[in-house]
Amino acid sequence: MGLEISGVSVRFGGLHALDDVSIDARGGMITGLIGPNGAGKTTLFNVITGVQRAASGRVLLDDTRIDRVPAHRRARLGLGRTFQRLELFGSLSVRENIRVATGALPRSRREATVNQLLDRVGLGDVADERADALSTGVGRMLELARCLAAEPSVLLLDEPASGQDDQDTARFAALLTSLAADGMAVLLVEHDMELVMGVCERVHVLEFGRLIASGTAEEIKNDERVRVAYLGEEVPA
Amino acid sequence: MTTTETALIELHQVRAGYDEVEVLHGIDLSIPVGQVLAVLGPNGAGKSTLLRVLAGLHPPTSGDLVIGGNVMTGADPTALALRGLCLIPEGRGVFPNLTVAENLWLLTNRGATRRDVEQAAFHAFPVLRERRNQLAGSMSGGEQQMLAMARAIATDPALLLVDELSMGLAPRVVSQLFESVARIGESGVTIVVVEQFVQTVLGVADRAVAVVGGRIVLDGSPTEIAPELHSAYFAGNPDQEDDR
Amino acid sequence: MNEFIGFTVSGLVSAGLYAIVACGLTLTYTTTGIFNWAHGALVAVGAFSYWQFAVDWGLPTPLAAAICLLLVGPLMGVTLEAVIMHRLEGTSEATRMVVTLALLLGVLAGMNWIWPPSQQRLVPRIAGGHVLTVLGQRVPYSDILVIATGLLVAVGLRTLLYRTRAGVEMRATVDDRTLATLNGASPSRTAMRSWAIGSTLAVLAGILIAPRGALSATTLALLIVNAYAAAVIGRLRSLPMTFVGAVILGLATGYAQGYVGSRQDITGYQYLVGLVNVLPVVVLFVALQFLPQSRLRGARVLRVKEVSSRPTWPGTLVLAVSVVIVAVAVAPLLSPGDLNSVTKVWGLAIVALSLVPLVGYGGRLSVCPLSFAAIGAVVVSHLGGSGNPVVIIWAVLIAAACGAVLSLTVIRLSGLYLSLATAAFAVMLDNWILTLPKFTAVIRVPFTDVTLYRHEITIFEGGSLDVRRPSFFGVHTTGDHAFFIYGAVVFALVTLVVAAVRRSDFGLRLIALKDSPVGYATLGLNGRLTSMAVFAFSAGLAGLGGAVYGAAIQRPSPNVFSFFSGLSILLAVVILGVNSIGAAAAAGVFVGGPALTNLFPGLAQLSSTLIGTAGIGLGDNPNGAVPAEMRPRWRPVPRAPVVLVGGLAAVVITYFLTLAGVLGNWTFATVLVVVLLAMPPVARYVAEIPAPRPVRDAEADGLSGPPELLGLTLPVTSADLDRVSREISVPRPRPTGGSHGT
Repeated sequence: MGLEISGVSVRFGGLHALDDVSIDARGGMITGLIGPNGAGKTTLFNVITGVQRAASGRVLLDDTRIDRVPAHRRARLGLGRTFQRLELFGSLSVRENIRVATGALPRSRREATVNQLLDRVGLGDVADERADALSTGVGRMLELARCLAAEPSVLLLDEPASGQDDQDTARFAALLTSLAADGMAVLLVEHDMELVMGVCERVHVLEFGRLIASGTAEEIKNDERVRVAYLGEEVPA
Repeated sequence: MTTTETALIELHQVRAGYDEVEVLHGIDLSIPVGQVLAVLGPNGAGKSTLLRVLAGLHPPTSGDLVIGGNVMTGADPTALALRGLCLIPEGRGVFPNLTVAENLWLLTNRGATRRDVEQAAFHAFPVLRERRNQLAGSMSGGEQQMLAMARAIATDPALLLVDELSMGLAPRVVSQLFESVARIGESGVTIVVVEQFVQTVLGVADRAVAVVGGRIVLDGSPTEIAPELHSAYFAGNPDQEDDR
Repeated sequence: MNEFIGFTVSGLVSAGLYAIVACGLTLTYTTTGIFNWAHGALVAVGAFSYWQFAVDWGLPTPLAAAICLLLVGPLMGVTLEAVIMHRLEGTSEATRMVVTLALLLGVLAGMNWIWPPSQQRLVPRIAGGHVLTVLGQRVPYSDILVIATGLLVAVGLRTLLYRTRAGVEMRATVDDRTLATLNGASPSRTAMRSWAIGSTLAVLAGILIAPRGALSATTLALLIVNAYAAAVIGRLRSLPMTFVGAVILGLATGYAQGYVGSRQDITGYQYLVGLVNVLPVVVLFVALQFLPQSRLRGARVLRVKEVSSRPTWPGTLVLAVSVVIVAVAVAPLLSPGDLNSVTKVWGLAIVALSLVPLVGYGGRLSVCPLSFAAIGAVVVSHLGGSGNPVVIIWAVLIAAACGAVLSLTVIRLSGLYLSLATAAFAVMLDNWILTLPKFTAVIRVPFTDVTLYRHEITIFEGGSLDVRRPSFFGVHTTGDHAFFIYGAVVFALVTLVVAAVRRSDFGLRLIALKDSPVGYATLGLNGRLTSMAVFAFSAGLAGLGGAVYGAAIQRPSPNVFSFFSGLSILLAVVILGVNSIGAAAAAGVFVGGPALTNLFPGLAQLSSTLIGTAGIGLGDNPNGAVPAEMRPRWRPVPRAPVVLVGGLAAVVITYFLTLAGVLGNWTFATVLVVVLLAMPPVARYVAEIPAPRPVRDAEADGLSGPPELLGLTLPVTSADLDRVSREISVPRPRPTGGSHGT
């Protein structure tokens, strides 16, 4: 169960944005995806969610191929995502943003789901404010709540902690852990290493569009190639 | 603080951000004439914003930008460019739908002739001569970055700002690009290079600062600060305790 | 053979004209990002000013042409950039389109004032009488001049953009604005050059078109829809492809007109002759289908936020009920003539309302509202001979079906392309479908003679429709009085429907889709389906509006449903506030209402001019006047009943005195303006309410108060200055070597 990506490649002109990348994110755990700027993390998300087409490779959701399925149908199959640059419905209120996402649920359950989610992510106080009046940190929580309203089985998060303060980040980490405990597969792109190393069971590392390492958080922390990717080549003593 | 006489460019307590998020939390930086400075740090640390502030593209919310002793906070980037400030932006600093020759033509704004510009550029990167009439967007990433670097060579800047030169490029191309940065540096131009990779700038930079969480956390020669980077990147901001 | 050469030459002449127009349009669009809907109107200005200099004032031809090309053209372009286009930077694509659409309407209205259409204007051909014999065919010099100029313009523009540094700078600005700035290229200088050239090319086209028939501003402005086709073939980007497009289009029209347009003896002539005229529009429609698929778009970053407040039930009910009450109260007071002319207000108001869900909530700028209204009117005329009210339901359904079909063909398109497609649809309907003589629709079992369905369809036979007013439950709405109230009731009901839609989940989805298509899709919602649904819903409402509008006029001719009339309604709604139901009512009253034209019969263009100028101002205030300006300003008035009643009484008394002939029309207008301006401040004074704070999201912009109050009643903080400097990206003045350091 969960998400499996195998052999995905994307090219922009002369640039290999992704080169034969294979990763997976299993249900019930949080998987991290890290790498330097321009390594291809957001491109990979775009390929998974159908915003962008890959030149080759397969995307499997719960063992079903979805790489030729339009974006909105993939979402219906259980794929949810947030964006690095917020994609909120700015002129709607916080409550309405979540309400829109409950479209696939039976009418009778929508209202209750919205209230429950507002509670869960702690947006009850700002429920009637316009989404574009929110700060980035709060906006990210709303995007997450909106995503959860569609009841995904796989959750892709693109830098959810940027723009949040330490306290928010801690609360956010707890929320992620509880989502994984519910059986969801969470794939987390994040620059806050503390957060990634704290919550992720497994971590994949991308560099120049290639997967250079996969392993447990501890393994990745001590991986020589990751040090190189982040810091350049081996530092002479 | 370094003395104002020798500093080409200075930042005083610069704070900057986007919307409500402050990215830079009070940066003090003084760069002497002729220095090659590497700005290191993880993603989202504020390196690019710092560079945009230096280039006049992003006015700070508070603090001052001083160039050559004059307060230039909020000055027009076009005016700064004409006075000899050259920014190679992140990604590809080229016009993709213009040919290589046309890209180079636009560099004549500081008085050089078209022929001078082309000669300088082709001398530094011979491959560009072969691509002269090709659309810049159709070239490989490395060739595009070379064309972008040609701006720095042909416009004869006083201050060169380079953002993430190595992004998405193969290591061989990166080292070639940094060689040209080194050559420009040797000719006496003041350079600020933003990089994620410390190793690539080791041979080039005279000095390196590490920006983590919008603050300068390390400052010294590249070899001095290299061993400390790992813990700085992975453990967050070591200065944070001191600030509170 | 001779015939073929003749048709080729006339095709190439059209090609030359299309090329000049389309290249100018493409140039300004690529370099500034603003698609100039008014480009055709500029061509008309060129033609008329040339007539003014060369014919009316009798200047020698070369001098007149030189004045037009060297003075009128560049000046017009520079003025446009400095006064209007300059302020559009950072606004949404929709705002840009509305502003240039308004410019189109405004320029046309202005031209009708300066050059009244009642006078016939003819311009002699340049080098008239001289001919050149090509392959046995006599070709006038003037034709050769047009073809040669077309070629010259294409080559010249290409040279400018690829062989001069200024041109390369222009293309660089299109590619990457920031990087161009870093290279020392000033985007505003580039824009200025581009508008000057574009406008001069429009004038040039005008001069060349002028001798080819009696001058008509509207015809010239519409002719330009044809040139759009060439521009779209060039994907609004490539000049060489645009030129190729112009040649294909020109030749196609040349041959079509030659082989079909002048042969009354061929089968189906009466059906095809209209098609020949709209051939370029058909090409435009087809070319739009071959545009590359647009990727899912992210949220836009705008300078000014669009406001779309959710209507409350009490508010909507009050509006609906008061519409009916006012209609009942006013009807007996009006003279029979006035009553007759105001009956059409409600139909237009419903059409205006149909735009609220589509344009306001859905953000899809359709410029063909009256085309669906025409369909509704045709259906009612066709089926409702006896005044049977059920046919109105048919009108709604058939118009909705047409809307759905149109949306299917344009569903991949967004923004500008969608608007172009709807414009093409409107013009096609205007100039071809609505002018068709009656025909018989037959559905047969294929390859047999078995007829399944046979129906004779009549569209505007004899120049006008016969639309009966409905009768139901023993109520006849045949009389103007009854029909006026009936229209108000229908409008009130539609208001409730639109409010219900906005309040429903569907309404939320429309706005969500507009705000972020990519966010919408990744939540599992099908944007295309939503898009189609709102198109069909809006078209259905417009069909209903058309049914009511047609019945109000009783014998409407096709031109009441013309593209330009539709444009007036669209712009009126957008100006008054396209997200607001009340604004739609006001727009209907404004466009259809006789008040302005009755009071000032000499100024028939007044409402168009007002709409045009107000629309141009929209660049500063995309939310429209009602939500952004009027509402906060007028909010205190109901709280001071004395002022409200007093003001209304003054207006009503003056109105009746005017009707009785005691006062002149201008006196009435003056009283009206004074009362309207005086009411809000007087009400504030009486009710002791502090000065208003117009909604402009001032706080959200980070300013400590509304911009217009800063510095006057509120202190300007340093943060405000920084904010403003950043907003308008100019350097903030600072003393050199200020007090910094520690």
